[in-house]
Amino acid sequence: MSFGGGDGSQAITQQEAQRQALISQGAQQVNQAFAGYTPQFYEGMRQNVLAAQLPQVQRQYQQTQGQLASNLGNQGLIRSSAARNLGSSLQEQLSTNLFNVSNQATQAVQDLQKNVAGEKSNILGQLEASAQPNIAGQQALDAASRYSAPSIIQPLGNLFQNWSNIYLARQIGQTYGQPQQSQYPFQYQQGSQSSPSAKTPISYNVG
Amino acid sequence: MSGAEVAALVGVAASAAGTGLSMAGAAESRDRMNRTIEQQLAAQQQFQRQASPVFQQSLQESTPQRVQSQIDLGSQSASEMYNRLRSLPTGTSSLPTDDRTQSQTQQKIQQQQGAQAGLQGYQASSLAQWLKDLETRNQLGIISNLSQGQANITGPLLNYAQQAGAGLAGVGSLLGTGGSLLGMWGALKSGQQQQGSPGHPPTDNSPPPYIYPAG
Repeated sequence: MSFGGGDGSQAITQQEAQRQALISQGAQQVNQAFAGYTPQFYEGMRQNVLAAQLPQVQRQYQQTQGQLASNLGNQGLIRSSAARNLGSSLQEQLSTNLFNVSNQATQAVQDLQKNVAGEKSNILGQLEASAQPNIAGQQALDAASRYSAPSIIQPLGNLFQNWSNIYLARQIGQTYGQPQQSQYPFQYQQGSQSSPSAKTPISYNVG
Repeated sequence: MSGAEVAALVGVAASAAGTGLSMAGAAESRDRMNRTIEQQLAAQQQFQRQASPVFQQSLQESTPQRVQSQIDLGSQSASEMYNRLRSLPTGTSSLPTDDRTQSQTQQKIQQQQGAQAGLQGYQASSLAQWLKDLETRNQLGIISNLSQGQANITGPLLNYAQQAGAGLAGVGSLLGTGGSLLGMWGALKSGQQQQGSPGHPPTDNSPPPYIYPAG
């Protein structure tokens, strides 16, 4: 004769222990699938993004510098204080662009970090609900390989466009003999010279 | 000793044994329920022991000192990157420059670099804290899930524990009832034997109680 439900309690305890073991096993699989996303990986990715974009910055800088030197030379101003100021301004613009490119590369990598961590968290949440380590492990592998696949790095736009436009405005102004408003004419945007009160501070935001 | 008396005695004994079994069944249920609760509490304490260090570590990673350290580290990293980028060759410049202009320019760039690096430090710290919180939530979520699952089976386990002594108590109850009936039958039989066998008149000469004396 059986005295009580010992078998039932054993079954329910074993079932729960099995569920817990499956979740622990699944969590290990998920962690293993995302183990490649180390700080070194992200730093390497940032370097790769920069390596792809920096030559574009340098090329654009050289083009803009050459154009500036040519224009100044045509006007006989290559040795003038205006040329020194413009050269200084271009150098500042170059630094701004370098900082921006660096920040964008960092931001891209940080976004990836967030996406990867969020995806891992989602898969762990699904694992907790389903207690199916195989499915969770497969999802983790898919997600991990999807994020680690190389993404296309978009070519940079014309980083010196704003600067060139402002300088061009000054050139037009000089060509048509309009009075120069400031020692740093490139600080005013095109069309603002007819009205001194409509001066607009330059924005170096080329992002 | 007649058979009826033996039956009455056996009935009493069986009834007593039934009561004993019922009490043993209740004790068995009580013991198993206590053991179940102790085991469940021990399991919960184990989960608590796992969760506490995770939470404590997360807390330590969020102290103002730690956050400041992350800001400094992020700022330093950004600054080093900016320096590397600025030191890259940009080609020969055909534009004139002088020391004063160059110094002023470098000063402005340095100022901008410091501000940018400081901002990057805050962003790096914010990301580090976010990632740390998420990882902590993941770990605590799993531990909490396991703990909740373990707690969920407490009710059914207590039910099973309660039923553990039910069989013994049932047998005891059955035995008690049987013993009681047997005792009653024995007592009845014994009483009948004392009054005489049916069909034979009483041995004494006194009139039956339903015969009233004359007069």
